[in-house]
Amino acid sequence: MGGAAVRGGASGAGGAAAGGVDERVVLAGIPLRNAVLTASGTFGYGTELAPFLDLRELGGFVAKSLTLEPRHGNPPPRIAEAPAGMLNAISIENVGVKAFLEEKLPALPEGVVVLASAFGTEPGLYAELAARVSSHPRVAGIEINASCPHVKAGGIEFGQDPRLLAELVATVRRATARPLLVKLSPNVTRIADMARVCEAEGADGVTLINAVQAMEVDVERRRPVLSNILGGLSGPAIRPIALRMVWQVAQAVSIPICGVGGIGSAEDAVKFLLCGATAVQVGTQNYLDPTAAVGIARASRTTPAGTAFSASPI
Amino acid sequence: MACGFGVCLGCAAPRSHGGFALVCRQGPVFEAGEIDWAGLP
Repeated sequence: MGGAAVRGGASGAGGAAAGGVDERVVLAGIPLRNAVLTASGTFGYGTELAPFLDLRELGGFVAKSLTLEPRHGNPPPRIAEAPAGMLNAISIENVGVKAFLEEKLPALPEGVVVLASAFGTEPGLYAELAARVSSHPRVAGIEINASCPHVKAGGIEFGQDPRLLAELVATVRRATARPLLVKLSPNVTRIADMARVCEAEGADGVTLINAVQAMEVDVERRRPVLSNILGGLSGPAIRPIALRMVWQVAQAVSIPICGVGGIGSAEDAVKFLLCGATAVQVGTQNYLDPTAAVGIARASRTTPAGTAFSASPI
Repeated sequence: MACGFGVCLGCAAPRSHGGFALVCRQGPVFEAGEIDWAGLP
């Protein structure tokens, strides 16, 4: 399948911006302000950063994954440094869907494009959460977290078994008419097969990749660094893996792709677009530089037409 | 501590009455009794 067809429906929604480049992008039916979002779990609920950044400069942001009830995470240590990246095992600590809808969303400035991220331990719980967030006018779309690599139940088990993934996507699809993305795990043998399942079950797009399952060891203490033992590796270390998988998925499905994994610059973001992504998410880089995503979004606005951000995929 | 502004949730310290406090936002100084010291690494 040609790359241009893969990106179909992805280009600007009409009307060039002042600089001659229309930075607006439609991702899986979600009108974004530009092609640069922030990744779930790396930008909180937006409220933490809103005093310092104009979140309307972002294409959109994916909020921290939600569960129906508030949830505590893992005991410390939850994070560890790694070469060109980091490990984390937070385990979906979140305020719960009620506080998200009643307290977090209303606190965000008007015009910020918000995607909710849904997590659960069984398909019905994901679906109930998707239905709850769909009732709120500020939720532009939903991303299913089918790939968290460090919780005891749920998440990655859906993203690693094509039959479970099909059941999950189908169940959530029936629960919401909102644009639906599925965030895929890289911890599989054939990522394209998982993307095909999502497409077949009615997902509007796929986001990839989540963190790569990993561990680190403390030699002095002779035990794993993370309390959870296993965690997820993110950051520049995984970018070539992410690019490879985005490219493979772009060859396999016609639904749009949101590329994520180690993006730290506009050039990194363009690499994902060239591999067939319609939009990108900035994740771990937000920790090094909270202005990184806004900076990349600005670059997407000022890039000359016909190059880089508006180039055709490989 | 990865981010320092309350989004990575990496600096969580266990509270003595359950749940976690973020060292970056709720700390870094705590009343000693607020923290479950045995729960720290």
